[in-house]
Amino acid sequence: MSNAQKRLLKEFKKYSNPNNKLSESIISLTPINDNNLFDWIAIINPIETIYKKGFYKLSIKLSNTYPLTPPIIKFITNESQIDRDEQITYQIPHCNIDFKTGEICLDILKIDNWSPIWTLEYSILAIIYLLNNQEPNSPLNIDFANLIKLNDKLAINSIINYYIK
Amino acid sequence: MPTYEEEHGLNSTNNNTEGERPNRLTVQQALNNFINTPTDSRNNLSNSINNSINGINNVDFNLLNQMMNSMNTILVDKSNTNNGVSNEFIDRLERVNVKQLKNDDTCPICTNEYKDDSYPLVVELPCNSKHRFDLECIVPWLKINKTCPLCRIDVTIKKELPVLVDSEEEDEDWEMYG
Repeated sequence: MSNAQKRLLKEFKKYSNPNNKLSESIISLTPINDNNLFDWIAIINPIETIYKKGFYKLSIKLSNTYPLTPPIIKFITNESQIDRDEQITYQIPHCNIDFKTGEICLDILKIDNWSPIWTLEYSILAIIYLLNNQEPNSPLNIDFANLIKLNDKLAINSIINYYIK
Repeated sequence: MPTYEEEHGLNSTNNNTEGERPNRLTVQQALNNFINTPTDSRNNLSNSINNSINGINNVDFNLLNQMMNSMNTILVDKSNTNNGVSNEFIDRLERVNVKQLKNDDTCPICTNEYKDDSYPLVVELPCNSKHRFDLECIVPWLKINKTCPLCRIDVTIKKELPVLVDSEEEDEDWEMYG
């Protein structure tokens, strides 16, 4: 078993232990199937953010060099019709998240700023933190970045809630 | 009466044409040489070219992908090696005595308890005596980064000088007693 697998197994055990509570914002954090620890899904309900009414799904892909290299985390925006969950919102307007691909621009998830002591839970919490701390100066969604810059709260909230199921 | 060429210190046109002839000959000779080279060696050349072209056609995509991947990892490794610390630095890392470790102390990288291993190899980084890691876990990180995973301080900045001073003092002591 590689070091990456050992570490991921340990994280899996921790997250699936009922005595160990994850943050209230993280609904679930599990591998897609038990045979592959390198492919995870997280469902979040970011209660302390302006996205609090929504449930969002994230895909987490890991490589054999984890935890020396960061996980690749994306919001799932293009789920096939069969796999679609009615509870989940697949559109997330956020200035550091690509609206089409769900790609997230977050410095600590880039290889130069990553640290091996961070876990998948920390990474997800960092993304939840990013939801309320938008950085309009390095946008992936330029239109939404403009709204953030103008601080048009009514428009921001209306757009977010427009997509939420 | 001197000719135009003589007046201007030039060679006669005759000489010029003679001078050209050898040139033409050498080109012709080179051509002849190429044409007359043994057909074997020329065939060898074209064969080897054909082989390499066929080789490319026969490579299956899995192999090609593997090669691309390994190339990528090599490139990543190479680009990263410059950022890491030297092997000497790793060798000089402070070892932590097993007696100093508590039963529930864990390595922040692998999250395993040090005492799970009956002979744990634990080191501390120069930034802070509490920044301890399994040697096995921290070495791959330090080979690609100079920073402490816990506090991001460049671990190579300090330490170097005091170590040198220590060794000098030791040398002086030896001289005094010698």
